[in-house]
Amino acid sequence: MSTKRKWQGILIAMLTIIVPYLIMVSDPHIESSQSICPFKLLTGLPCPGCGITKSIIFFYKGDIIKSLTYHILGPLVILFCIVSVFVLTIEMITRKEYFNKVLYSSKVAYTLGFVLASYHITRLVIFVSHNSVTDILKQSIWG
Amino acid sequence: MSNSTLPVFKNDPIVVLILAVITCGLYLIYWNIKAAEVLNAVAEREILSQPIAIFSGCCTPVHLYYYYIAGKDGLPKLYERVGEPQKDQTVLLMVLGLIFPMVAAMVVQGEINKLYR
Repeated sequence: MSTKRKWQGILIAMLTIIVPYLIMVSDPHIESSQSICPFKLLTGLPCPGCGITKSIIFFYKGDIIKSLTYHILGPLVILFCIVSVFVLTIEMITRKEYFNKVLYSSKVAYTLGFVLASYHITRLVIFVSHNSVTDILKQSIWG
Repeated sequence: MSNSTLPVFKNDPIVVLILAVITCGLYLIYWNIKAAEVLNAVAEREILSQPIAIFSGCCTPVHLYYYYIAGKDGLPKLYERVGEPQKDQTVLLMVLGLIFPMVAAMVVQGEINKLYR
């Protein structure tokens, strides 16, 4: 990976960490805010990434249970971003690659994909069983 | 690398849109991995990390980065291979990726399909 891409990786990881913090500071009523996810607006159903920002915000607030309720991968995303910033910085200093084996592994990708897909299906089933069609539509642009 | 040795990932862009919507984004997880695999093969180096492609389904900044790399590094190599004039679709893909991720996937799928003509 080129140095330019490493800088960009650090920037993206930092943004992922900082943006939820800024939202937390600027919007104290985040729980009742309307989702801006295009999938949710279109179908009323959550997408695989829905709830991750709220999950990170509640992780920052120290409410781990609520954080995991919004999205089970929220704390993992934060951990991944912190590790990325750290490893990419070390790589640039030492001019060695430590991350490539994991970063470009198909096995890791398919495992993560399987975990995310399983979680998403479970969450969809729970969401549909706990909400009526009217409630689901209310969360979309059609309601 | 000849086109016959590239991983085959040919889909009608409309099918990508329909599958993305009816599976509530589940299909896009798989699509992200496969598109990264094809673009890496076209470039003959690892430009898009497949694990990052999974995270891009969860996290907006990573999602934008995915389309940035696809537009800056992936598609130019693809145009080079199919003999088409270069065009920079990075901004379009990033904007679509932010507002309509399924439409951004359709655009990239349309370009990927050119490999299998």
